[in-house]
Amino acid sequence: MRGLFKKRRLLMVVTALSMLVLAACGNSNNNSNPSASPSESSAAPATETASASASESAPIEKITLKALMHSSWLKGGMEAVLKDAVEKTGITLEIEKLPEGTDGDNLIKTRFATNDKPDLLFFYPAVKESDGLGKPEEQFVPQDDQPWMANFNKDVWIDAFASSGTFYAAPYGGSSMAVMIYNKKVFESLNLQIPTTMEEFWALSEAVSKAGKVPVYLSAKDAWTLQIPSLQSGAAQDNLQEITDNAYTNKGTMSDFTAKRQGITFLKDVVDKGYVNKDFLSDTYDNAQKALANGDAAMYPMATWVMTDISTKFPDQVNDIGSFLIPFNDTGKNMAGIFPPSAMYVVKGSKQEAAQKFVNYFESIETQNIYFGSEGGIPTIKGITNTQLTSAELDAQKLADEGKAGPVGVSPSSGIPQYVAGDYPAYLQDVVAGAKTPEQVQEAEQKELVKNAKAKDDPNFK
Amino acid sequence: MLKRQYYRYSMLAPGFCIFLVFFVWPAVSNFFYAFTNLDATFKYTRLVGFDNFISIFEDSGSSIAFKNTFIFTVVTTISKVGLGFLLANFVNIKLRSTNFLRSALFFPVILSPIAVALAFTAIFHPSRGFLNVLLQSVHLDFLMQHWLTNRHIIMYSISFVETWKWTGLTVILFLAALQTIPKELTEAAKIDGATSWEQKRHIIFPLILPVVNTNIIISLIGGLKVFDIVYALTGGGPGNASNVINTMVYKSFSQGRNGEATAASLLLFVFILVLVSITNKYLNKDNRG
Repeated sequence: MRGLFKKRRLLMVVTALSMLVLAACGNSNNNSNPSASPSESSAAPATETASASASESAPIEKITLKALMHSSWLKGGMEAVLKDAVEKTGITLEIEKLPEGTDGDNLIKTRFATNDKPDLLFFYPAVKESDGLGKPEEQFVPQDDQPWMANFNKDVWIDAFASSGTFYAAPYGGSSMAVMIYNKKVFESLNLQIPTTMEEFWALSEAVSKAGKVPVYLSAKDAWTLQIPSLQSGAAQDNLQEITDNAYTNKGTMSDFTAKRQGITFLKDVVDKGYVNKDFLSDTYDNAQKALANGDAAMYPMATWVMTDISTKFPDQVNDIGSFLIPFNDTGKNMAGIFPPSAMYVVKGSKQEAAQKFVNYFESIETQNIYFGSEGGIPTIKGITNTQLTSAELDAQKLADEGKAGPVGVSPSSGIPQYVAGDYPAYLQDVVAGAKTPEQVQEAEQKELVKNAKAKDDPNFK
Repeated sequence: MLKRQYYRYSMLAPGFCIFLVFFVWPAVSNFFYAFTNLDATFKYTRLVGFDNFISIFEDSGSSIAFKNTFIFTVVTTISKVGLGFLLANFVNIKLRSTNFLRSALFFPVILSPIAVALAFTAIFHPSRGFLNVLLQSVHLDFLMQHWLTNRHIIMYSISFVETWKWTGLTVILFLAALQTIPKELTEAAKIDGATSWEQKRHIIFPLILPVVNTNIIISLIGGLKVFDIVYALTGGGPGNASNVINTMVYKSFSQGRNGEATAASLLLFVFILVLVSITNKYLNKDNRG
């Protein structure tokens, strides 16, 4: 009898423990699910924030928001803003830093797929359903009617920022341009001029090579860096919108992007001619900055965002660096590729009001002056007076002023779904490693695009 | 009687529920999803039959991934088991440094694969890496290689890192087996005039054969399932040069083709099951014989 009592007691303890474990799992899920019905405690901060803004005399309520961001996106500008935000708005951003590139993107996709979403997401602009975060209208708060929009030129940025005509993205950071970054001192010491034709470019490379320096530095270990030449050449593509629409409706192929192929061919040529660093497949983005700043390398095809890193790591050399256009089309149409800034999204959920308050604060001219006073990049918000543009960025901005800049790509027109066209950086690694030709890269892209379109049952790809 | 049965099952229930929810259900759903067009948001609209499997075999990158996985599995299994056996015999000898050597051999096993990969990325760098610098300093320049970018040797370089990391485990298993062999057997053989090789061939090896089998099976499974060390060392590159089945699965996921990715992992599961079953059957037969 006593034994049976003991067993029952043991059973009760086991059952209670199991329930505790399951309850704990359930509880943590609720905490991380902002789309669930807001509980009393989670709804409270938003109300508190609203009341705080209503009365200036009232003390600022403290609130913490969760944010996701690629780790390299958090630099001096945002760090300065975060300190200011706590004082002025009471908002503390708890930023979870993610790996760069595809790895970080995959983590974000997984977090959204499992409903473990942040309050603020730092991601690429013009988010689409095909980005894997769900339908934008279900996940994010539209920004079209927000006050910060008054200082933002919607017409200029609609292609780069809007998702099917609606702005969910608010600009984060400055815009950049895909160009050739070069060391002015190396050019001066060898009495070289900025090339205006490809013939001049190769002659210049030969002169640099003979001087014992690396003419063009490639950082192929970080495969994403290989995209820059084709993004610069691609900006000069005629009928870009039409070609893009045709590619995503199966009326054309990726091989129709002929201007982009020029940049891929450039990569192959520069390797075949031996004008690159010896260990280009093992060298990284970080190695490239050092080589360029020290003058071991003369040129580095990169976007102007690299100047923020160079300013931090090599402040004494930052003025030795300039930028120019690779003259793919000789004296014809050559364009710098404009990258829109990154974007921040207010994620729908219990803290969306506070997150929106942060976005409005961030995009204000006062805060943007704090941001660009501590970090490079070309602002997209109008009226910013405090910037730290470097010599290379000013060169690039001059190109834009002269009309020699265009978008690095456009989204297909409204209503046409966009599909991922394979692992482009990996294909470019294949080119520089001698395993693919530029034509094969575009064929591989086409194959992947068709595969993804068919997986989505797109009637155009039946 | 009925009460006793009820009591047993009720005690089993919590554990069984957890097992069902976290192990059985994901495995079963994985089978199902392999036949759907599951996307990045983990939603599917229809069953696609064997389309995902056809798509895997039609992809030119798949043949590289399968070939690389095969090379990696064979090379690491042979090296881990072979080297493990030799080293276990060495650290089974009583020396002053025996304990230190055993700890040193096992040390890489407890290291994070990412830390190991980062260290070897630096060691293998073609011009600044320790390995090539060492080869150059001892005038063996002709042996210098682009260890992690030359597509002809890349899988062997990665296999070397895997072997360095995991041989300690096979050593420990072999060592445990060697220490269970009664000394009387080897002493009797010595008295009968058996040489050291004959003792190993006719006494030690037959007695540790079950552990050899275990080590082979563990190494085979580890080789076929490899992901972390490859991804951290090369990311499957340059291009697709060092892709293995699991990096291919990962890339399918990142393209939003989750159905195809689950099909590839199902395929890997079947490979492992078949290969391990055949190996196990063969080795056990050998063991009995």
